[in-house]
Amino acid sequence: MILSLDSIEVRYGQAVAVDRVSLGVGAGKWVLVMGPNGAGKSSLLRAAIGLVKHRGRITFEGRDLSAEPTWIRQRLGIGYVPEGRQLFTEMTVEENLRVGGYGCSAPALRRGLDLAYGMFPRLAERRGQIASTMSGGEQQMLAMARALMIEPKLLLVDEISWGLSPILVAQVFATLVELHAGGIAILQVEQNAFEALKHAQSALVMSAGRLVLEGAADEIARDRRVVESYIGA
Amino acid sequence: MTFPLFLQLLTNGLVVGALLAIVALGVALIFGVVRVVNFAHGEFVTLGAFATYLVVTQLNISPLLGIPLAFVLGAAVGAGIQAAIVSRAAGRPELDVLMVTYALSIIGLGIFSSAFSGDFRSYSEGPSGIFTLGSVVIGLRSLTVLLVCLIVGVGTILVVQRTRIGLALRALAQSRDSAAACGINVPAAELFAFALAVGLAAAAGALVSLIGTIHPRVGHDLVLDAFVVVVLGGMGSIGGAVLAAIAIGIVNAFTSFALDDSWARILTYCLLYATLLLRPHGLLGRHVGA
Ligand SMILES: Nc1ncnc2c1ncn2[C@@H]1O[C@H](COP(=O)(O)OP(=O)(O)OP(=O)(O)O)[C@@H](O)[C@H]1O
Ligand SMILES: [Mg+2]
Repeated sequence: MILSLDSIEVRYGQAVAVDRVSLGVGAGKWVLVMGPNGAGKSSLLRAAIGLVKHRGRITFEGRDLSAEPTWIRQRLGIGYVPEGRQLFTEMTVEENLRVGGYGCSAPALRRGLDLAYGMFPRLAERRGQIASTMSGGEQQMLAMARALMIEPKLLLVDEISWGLSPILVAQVFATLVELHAGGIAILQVEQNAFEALKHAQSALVMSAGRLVLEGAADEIARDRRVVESYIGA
Repeated sequence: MTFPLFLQLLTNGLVVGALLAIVALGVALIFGVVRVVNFAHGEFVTLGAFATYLVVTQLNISPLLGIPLAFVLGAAVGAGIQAAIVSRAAGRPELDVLMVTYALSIIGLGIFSSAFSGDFRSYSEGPSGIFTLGSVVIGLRSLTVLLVCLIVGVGTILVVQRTRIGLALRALAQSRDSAAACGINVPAAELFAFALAVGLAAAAGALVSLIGTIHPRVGHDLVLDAFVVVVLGGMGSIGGAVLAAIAIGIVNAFTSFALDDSWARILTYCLLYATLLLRPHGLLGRHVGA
């Protein structure tokens, strides 16, 4: 397992958003987390990258990260594409990427920029443009490219297809498939389960903070309850 | 008003505005990056002023050397206070954090008053004489202040806009979570911002001691205007703060001459009120990210 979440609990005040959830992501594997709004999916990812206080143990490549701050988790090789993109909206495309590669040495930063622009030629054309003035699809590309600057071993992606047209959704998934083929492990939270289940190896369903179902992605995709709730028959 | 007098007042206003800009840059930096309204900022100006006064009168060191010394002292004190006090209040309700910096201000005022009494002090060491440019007369000391403010101000803006740490500060000002998720050591960047801002305040204090009298409230009084400047400029906007500082300095100079200091203050705050009504996000009309 490259990432193990062991009995993770997240609370906001008294409210329990994530209730003792455990899961593992194998090296190079693609794991999908589904569930209704408010199930605690984003909170789980935020716990994994250290943006919310949590109980339970998080290990990454065998190293206990539970007490590590977010920036160290990132530098160890965890890329995070947050829900709603959370770009540095007043910065240019290139500045966003440079922040993404903040922990990189100068040659690694150069390489990261080349990779990002190679993967997303649209961003190369717009490197001087202010992020907030870009289209939704371009912004999502930038959010991904920013997370990829450190050449992470694991990518956490939260609702990456949110607000995108079907064509752009297909493009974004094509990019994830390419990254996955290149060996990056993916832990994905996604409402668009139909598309995501085609690519993931395993899938989990959360509801009201708990894990209610887990299994191989193709089994989950055939599960009647899941089909009714998340895919639409 | 004659034209030479007009130029003279403009020059005087520019000197005060430049000082105000340096102080306001620090306030804006702390507000933008650390998300704290630093009520104690004026006390750091006073610290720089007294430190310079002491090294000049006790150690016979040139006040010009006092400026970098004050900066370094301020940066060290700022780093200490951020690490030991302000960072610990992080995450508490806003009012708690305000009370922390307010308490620091009161404590600072108390320390300066008991150590130096309320006397007005000044020294004559350092640049002296006047410099005439056509019909405008400017003291060499004022000229020094103007030049140093220019260098320090441009330097600070270059650090924020052009360096790696500056990139981190700007990222942090726009989105804390994203900055952290991009590998920025948030507490370290905050420490840097606080130390830099307090260093600037203390350096401004050194400059204040060069052109005016020093007393325990000298920084406190200056910072009131600096807060106005930061709000006028748009909280956290550096360009806006500089512009607003110069404007306030010049408005003050003309009003103090035509009416008196109280009217200068009244006008300053009317200007603030009008700006908030007409341009709620400051002169340059920029939002600060959540
Ligand atoms: N910062 C916060 N403060 C208080 N409560 C929060 C906070 N963030 C999330 N919550 C609550 O925690 C619960 C889980 O939220 P979370 O965002 O993790 O769900 P989600 O599964 O990602 O939902 P969605 O599909 O709508 O994105 C919700 O009830 C939400 O209201
Ligand atoms: Mg969510």
